[in-house]
Order: sequence, then C-alpha cells, then structure tokens
Amino acid sequence: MPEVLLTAWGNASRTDDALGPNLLHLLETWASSVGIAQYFEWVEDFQLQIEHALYLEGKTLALYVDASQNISAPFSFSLLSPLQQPWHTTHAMPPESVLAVSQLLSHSPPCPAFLLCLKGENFNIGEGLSPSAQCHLQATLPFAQRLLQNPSPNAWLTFCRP
Amino acid sequence: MFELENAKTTQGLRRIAIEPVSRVEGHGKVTLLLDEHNKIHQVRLHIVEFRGFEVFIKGRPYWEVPVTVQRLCGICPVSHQLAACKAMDVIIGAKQLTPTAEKLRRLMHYGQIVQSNAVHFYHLASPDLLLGFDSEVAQRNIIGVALKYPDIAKQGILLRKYGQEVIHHVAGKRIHGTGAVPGGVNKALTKAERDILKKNLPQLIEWAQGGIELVQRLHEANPSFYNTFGLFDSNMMGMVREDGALDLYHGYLCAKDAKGKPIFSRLNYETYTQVLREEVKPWSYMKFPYIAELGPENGWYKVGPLARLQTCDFIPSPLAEAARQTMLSFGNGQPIHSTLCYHWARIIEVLHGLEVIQSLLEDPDVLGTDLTVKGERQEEGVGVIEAPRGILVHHYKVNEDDQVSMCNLIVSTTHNNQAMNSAIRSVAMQHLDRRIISEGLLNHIECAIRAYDPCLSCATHALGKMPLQVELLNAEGKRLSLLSRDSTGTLHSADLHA
Repeated sequence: MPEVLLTAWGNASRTDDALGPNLLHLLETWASSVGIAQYFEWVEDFQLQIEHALYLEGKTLALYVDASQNISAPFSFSLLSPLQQPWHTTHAMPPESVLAVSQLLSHSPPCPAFLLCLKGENFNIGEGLSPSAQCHLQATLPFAQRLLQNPSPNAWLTFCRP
Repeated sequence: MFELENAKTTQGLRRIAIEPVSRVEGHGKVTLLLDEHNKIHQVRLHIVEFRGFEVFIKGRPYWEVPVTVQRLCGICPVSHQLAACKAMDVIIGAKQLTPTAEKLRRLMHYGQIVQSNAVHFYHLASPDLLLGFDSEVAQRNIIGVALKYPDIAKQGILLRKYGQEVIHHVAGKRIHGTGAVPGGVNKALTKAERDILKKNLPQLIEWAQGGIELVQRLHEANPSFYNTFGLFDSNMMGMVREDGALDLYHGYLCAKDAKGKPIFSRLNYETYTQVLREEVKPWSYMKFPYIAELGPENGWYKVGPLARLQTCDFIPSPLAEAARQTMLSFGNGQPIHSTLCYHWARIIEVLHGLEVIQSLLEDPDVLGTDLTVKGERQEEGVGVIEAPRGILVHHYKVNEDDQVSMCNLIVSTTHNNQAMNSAIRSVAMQHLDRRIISEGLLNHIECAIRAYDPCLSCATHALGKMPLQVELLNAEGKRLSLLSRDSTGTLHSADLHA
C-alpha cells in the first residue's frame, strides 16, 4: 500500500474551486510518466468528510490540496495540525478536522500532513478555471512535483511558505 | 381530519419548535402546541423549502433532463437520474434496453441503495440507537459512535464508500455522474473496474450481516420500546417483479393495507395518475399523496424499506431473504408497523444490494459494449424506481421540438408525508404528553422522522404551487383576516371583521 496520501477536493462546476483536483490530475499524469505514481494514493472528492480520515491509516505523510481566495498568489504551503471542531453539524470538513477524526479513531497522532493551497479568484457557478487561476496552477505544478520527488516530512517542512 | 393535526383552539397554548430537524437531508421543522399541563394538542411536521425543477425544466431539451434532475438531491442523484432516464426511454421508444445497459443501470442503482442506506443507518441513525435517544447531545453523532464502537463506525463508513465506488465506476463520478442516458448507458464497465469492485465483497457482506444482527439484538433487548415507538397502522406500497419478488429498479406497484391484504398487486406504474391523488394542506409545502379510491383519510400509505419488504412476496437474494423472514417473525404473522423497524429493513436492503451487486459482477453481460437502443418517438413517458427512501415517480411530456412541456415528480419522502406526521404524533403522545419537555424527549420526535430517512429538499412543492396563508392578527392575537393561496395558485380571502 502506498505510504503517501494525496487528497484534493473541490467542485469542477464552481470555476476556480476545481484548482485542487486539476492539480492532482496534472500531478498524476506526470507521476505516471516518470514512474512514481504507485508510491502515492490519489484521492479526489467534492468535499472532505469523516471517511477521509480512513485514508490516513498506515500513511507516513499526507498532502491536502485545495483552492483558496485568502492567500497570496500563486500558492501557499503549510503544516497542518489536528483541530477538533463541531464537524458533525456541517456538510464539509476542513483538513484539520479530518486529522482530528483520524486521531480519535486510531488513538494516536496522525502522520505529518501538509496543505497546499492554490490561489483562486472566481468561485461562482461555471466550468473552467479563470485565467489567473490557470496561471497559478501552472506556477504551482513544478513546486508540487518537487514535493513528490522528496516525499519526507523533513523535506516538506523546509518547503513551507505562507 | 387526523388526530393532533389541528388544535381545537390555539389560544392559551404554548408552542415548541424543533427547527431544524437534524440528521436528515434538507430542512424541516416540527411544531408542538401544549397547554399549561404540557398536554399536547397539535403536532405537525412542516417542510420549509421549495424546489423549482418542475417549472424550470420546461422548455429544456429532453436529453438534458436526466443530468439536470440529479441536482434535486446530493444524497440520491442516481435515483433521480435513473427515474428520468426510464421516462425518457419511453419518449425515445426504447422499449427494451440491451442486457448490458439494463444490468449496468441496476449495478448503479444498487450501489446507490448500499451507499444511501449505509450512510443513514451508520452515520445518522446509529448515534440514537447505540448511544441512546436522550444521550449527551454533543456525543450523539457518528464521531461519538466511532469513539464507543469504532469497528461499527468504520464498517459503516466503508460500506458507504463501497456503494459510492460502484456508482463511480459505472456512472463516471460518485456524485452527479452521467452514466445513464435515454435508451441505455454511455459508459462500459472495464474488466479492471469489475475486478476492483469484486475484490472486497465477501467482507462487506459479512459486515452488512453484522449490522442486521446488531439491529436484531437491539430489538430483542428492549422489545416493548422498539415494538411500540411511533407505532401506527397504515397502508404500504412498494415495487415488485411479476413473480412478487422485490425489485428496486423496475416492476409493478403493489399496495397492501395495514393487515397485509392486497389493495392492488401488479399495477402498471404508467397509470399512476388514475390511482394516486395528492392533497394540499396550508401548513406544509409538502403534499399528502393517497390512493384515490380510498380517499385522503384512509388512502395514505407508507413507502420505503419497511413498506417494500412487506409488500413483496420475497427478496430474490438468499441471505437478505433469510434476514427478512427473521424480521417478519417478530410480527407474529401480522405486518410490522413499528417505526424503528425501518432501520432493520434498511440494513437488510444493504445486504440485498450487496448480493445483487455480487451477482451482477459475475454476469458477463456487464462487460458488454452494446449500450443504447432507440425506437419510435413518443410524446409522454413515466419512469418509476424504488429510491432508497421509497417510490420515486418522474413523469414528462416532450413536444415535437424535443422540449419538455410538462414535468411532474412525486418523490419518495412525499409519499411518506402523512406517515411521518402520524409517527411524530404517536411519539408525542407516548413520550411527551404531560411531561416536562427536555432535549432528549424532543429528540424522540426527531428519531421518528429520521427513521423514514426523509429527503426534505427533494420533497417540497414545485415553485409557484406552494399553498400559502397570511393571517392578520390584532394585538390580542385574534385573527382579523385571512388570505390564502391554494395549490392551483388561486387566492382566497376571508374578512373576519363582520
């Protein structure tokens, strides 16, 4: 079983909200071409929910990929920590809550997990990325490829940027 | 008039609202009117959303409809897609789908049954059943179950995930896929996908059997509570094959009365308009369907797992049929009407769904590539399917320009409207009447609604057809005038000054 989890979420019908899944598709295509795709578990969804905690079982490292308006372009990369929130009252959970559920279920801290956020600007209904989001996607791809070439928590810590 | 539907007078009564009802899809509320001794005088389930699909689907090309109507619901989009496709099959003259197309649609549908029933039983209902109806509210959720019963919670999550994977491989996506199209399907299943789906089935079947044993143990541990909670007698309706077997994808409508006596047994669903009527009440956006010949007072019925497991003659998969027989034995030869038995029936359907999926995956037809057919164009089509929550009706007319000119939907939860109201009135009288009302007691009301797994966002009136009522009250609360709009849009006024 692959030891590194890659999870991207977003709605392709919400314009730039699809940035995460789009990056995951590009990464998977690239990883297959260079022969490293099998070292990663690839997960894509509309939203994060409690079942995503199960994907963390047996993992040594996890990357969550999302789109956000509230960051500097083109992307941010940060370490995540488990955070207990009243997640059961909502349809969607933040990745910190997924980590907290994993911790509750396994009675042990989850593996080191990081969040890669791509800058989006338009989250209205509609298909296709905005022009600026396209640029951010292309600008993030080499960085994400470097993450996959160096899949260790210590290496990823050195890559963190606001 | 149903008992506790309308208080004789509202003066001097206290109102309690449960809003929103939690752990259900969509938004609804319950209101209770009580006097100073906490005697209950009125209980109603109100639906406070409305949908616009019947209106804005008009004028759209018919081939768009199966994709568009999925947006009615994020929980059972597959059911809406398949019901619409079945109606559009009729429109395009596809009288008989290819074996591959029909079996792939069935695969998709039973995947939907597994995922939806699993999410309801494990995520939404098990916190009440395992932790207690009046347990600590902050713990009464799937995380609370995971902490106390980690194996059960995990099995539930993985059962749901498997159902979603079936849908993903057949429909292209887990939510809002496009696999089914008028006349068949547009995506073949590959051998690799088939093998992925076959991989863990024995384990999943074992877990579903464990879920059934769990519910049975709960009933055996507290039979007086489980047998009487939300108890009321009613007619029941479901879909069956020609030979009386349960069929959740296609068949005939079958209805039985509260004693199990047939009302009709092999009704062609295309004639539903001759058999069913819908009553409108001013206090709810959801209609009240009934069997026309019996009238609104006696013709209402329940649908969904508990109803269809008792309207069919047998389940055509051995493990689920054995489980059904065990459940029925608890009725001592009489139909079971206890509201909480819905959970038992629902988890039996998870097992049945897995058995059907297993059988389909062994069938070489599911790997075929002959996917669509068409025939002589028709103007009108009706599609009916057993969605996870019960019978789902889609009815369309399409003009010569291929545009939808009429759309009528009767969704599963609407069929259960009167049943849910009867259930909460029964629970109110059993558990709340003349008692100090606590959060835990109010959760009993929610548990009764939750047992039906209602999808309230699907089940509302179409835009422009909502009955509305505006009252003018004076400072003492006395009604001075009343303006109302009925389901046809006609306004009625009553000036009460005189």
